[in-house]
Amino acid sequence: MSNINRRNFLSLGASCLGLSLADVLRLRAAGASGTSNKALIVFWTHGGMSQQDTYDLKPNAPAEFRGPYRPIATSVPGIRITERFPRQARVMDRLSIVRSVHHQNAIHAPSAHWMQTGYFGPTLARNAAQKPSFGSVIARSRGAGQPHMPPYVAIPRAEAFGYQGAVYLGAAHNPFEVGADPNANDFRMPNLALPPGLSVRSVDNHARLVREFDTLRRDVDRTGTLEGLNSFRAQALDMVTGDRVRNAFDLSQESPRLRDQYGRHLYGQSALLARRLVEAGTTCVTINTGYWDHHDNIEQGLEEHLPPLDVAIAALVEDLDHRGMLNDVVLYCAGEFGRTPLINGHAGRDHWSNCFSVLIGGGGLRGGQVVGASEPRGGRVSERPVSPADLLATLYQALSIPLDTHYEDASGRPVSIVGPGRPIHELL
Amino acid sequence: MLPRAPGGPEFKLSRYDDPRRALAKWMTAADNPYFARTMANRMWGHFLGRGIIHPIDDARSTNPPSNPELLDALARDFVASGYDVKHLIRVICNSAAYGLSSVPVEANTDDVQSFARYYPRRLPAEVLLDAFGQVLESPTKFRSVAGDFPKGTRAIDLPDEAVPSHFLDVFGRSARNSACECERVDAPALGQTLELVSSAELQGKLTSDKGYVGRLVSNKKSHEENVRDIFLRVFARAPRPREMAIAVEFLESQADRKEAYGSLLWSLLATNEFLFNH
Repeated sequence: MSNINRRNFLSLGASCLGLSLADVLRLRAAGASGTSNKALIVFWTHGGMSQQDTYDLKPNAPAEFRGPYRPIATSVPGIRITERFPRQARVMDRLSIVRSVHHQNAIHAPSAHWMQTGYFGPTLARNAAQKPSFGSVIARSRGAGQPHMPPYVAIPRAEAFGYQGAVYLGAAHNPFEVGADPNANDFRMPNLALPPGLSVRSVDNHARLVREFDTLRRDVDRTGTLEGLNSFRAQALDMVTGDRVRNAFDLSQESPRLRDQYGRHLYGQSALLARRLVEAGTTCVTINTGYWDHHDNIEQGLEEHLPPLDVAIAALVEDLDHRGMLNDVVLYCAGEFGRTPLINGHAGRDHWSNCFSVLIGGGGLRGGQVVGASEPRGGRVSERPVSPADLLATLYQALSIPLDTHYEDASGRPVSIVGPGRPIHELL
Repeated sequence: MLPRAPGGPEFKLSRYDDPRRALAKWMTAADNPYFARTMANRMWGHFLGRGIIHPIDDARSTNPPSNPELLDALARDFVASGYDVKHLIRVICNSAAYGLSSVPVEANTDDVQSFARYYPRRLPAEVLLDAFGQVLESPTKFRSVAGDFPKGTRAIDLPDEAVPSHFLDVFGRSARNSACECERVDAPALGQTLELVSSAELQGKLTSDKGYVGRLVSNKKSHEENVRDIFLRVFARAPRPREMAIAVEFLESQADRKEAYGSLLWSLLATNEFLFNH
């Protein structure tokens, strides 16, 4: 088992550049010898999904708290979720709900940073990312399962606040953005497409000529930059001209029936693409669809988003299970916060971080559980508070990433990937 | 409370004095021990890829210079020159250290901080983009929300990072969110090599009829003459006999002269010899 903990991390030496590449190569080598091949697929509910209309309904609360939806029974006795999630209800035994997530900020950007990095940091006035996202931490510590695949992919692109990036982990660990809607008829990977007038034959010529003319000795550089560029060059050429990466992104290789099961919308086809990518060796896929910031007329907004999200998550669970992959792929659905328990004057709900829900399952985590609870009208945690860092610790634990991992920030200070976060033992 | 410089004197200012003048005067005073050393170290780091104090913005007693005598001598000379930055640059660029080859020999192969050989480094994002434009005689067009920048504006001339450029982003231009020198990253990334392979921007420069490629296509010179010109332009050296042979053979094998020269240049621009100072 190959771990980066603080001690051997520090002992590796001075240059941050050299380190990141050496780590990737070393961990890839370790991955090949079979440490963990678990992957993570995230449905990021950018803007903040209403917990009280989805995973934590309050049917006995007064109408102004209750919201438009009624709860329905699921495959797990006692767990009830919104009537707009009938498909997830059938696979609830394989998923768990955490109903007691909370943090102390209610503005989008700082909250999105907190939930995705485990740390409070940016404010509205200074909104630059300060810590690496969990996807980048996973990319850095685990690399890709197959060396030709990007370890961390965002569909269709990274979240708009800019908190899904690598920050001081280095640009190599930023998400690889698909950049197109997988549900489009002519979907193909723009980043892998050749510009007009450029043929695969000319890229092959290019690759051959670069090999011939690239005579700068490799041992001139001791920082790893040159070697890194060489290895990424080979990977880029392979992605652009080879079949393996192209195939992973090629949804047309899936049967129309399965594509229908996932739903012919951005949610469904993104989930299907995510499954293809983790199958091919990507370690973390984040699906960023829609904006859930429903301050006005929340029912109208949720009617648009809940059904496709439901189909996408449930189809993914069933498909992964069918393929025997469910124990190897962690599923996670979360956003920066939830929404106010009390419906506002515009029939919407506002920002609420005092108590909200996330969905987590697969990857060997226990399904059919509800962790924590909220007060009768929502609002506050009544049982088992869970912090953003606790959630990340749970994800890292499920992915076999040692929780004592530290990475040096720009000033050279080792920073924990989870801070005080502890995994949710009820799910392990 | 009176304003004061870090570790320095209080400034007694009248209400119409600009405090920045007092600060600048204090910083550049002959008895200020910090400024000349910092400036000398920054310039050294700029040209040699590594500061004598490294990182260049991390001067503290527990991070000593790798060669204190060198740093002191540069600083003294800089003060004696009347803080003449061009003089400082001339001294560094005429030094034996700056002129060393990056190719290691047995005695210096393990050296990473004593400047026993030149340490190669990838061209910074802006310099690289400008270098592509310069070699191919096809300057990059920059636009911002306020409108187009004047023709001929180079990436190193851009006022700030808000000018959109995917190329500059993936090659690690500074986001200017903090005062830390470390914000500029030159770590390799997949996005960079993808950009070198399939960027519309670079391909546009390579296929432009107006630029260098266009001239190579329409001039009546032999492949040999053109290859010699290309190597001088891209690598600042003549082609070796083997390289000449490969290049000419490739050019002759291609039916389309424009595509042939475009492909050759594209490949030379993607080599480490071009991408790195070495």
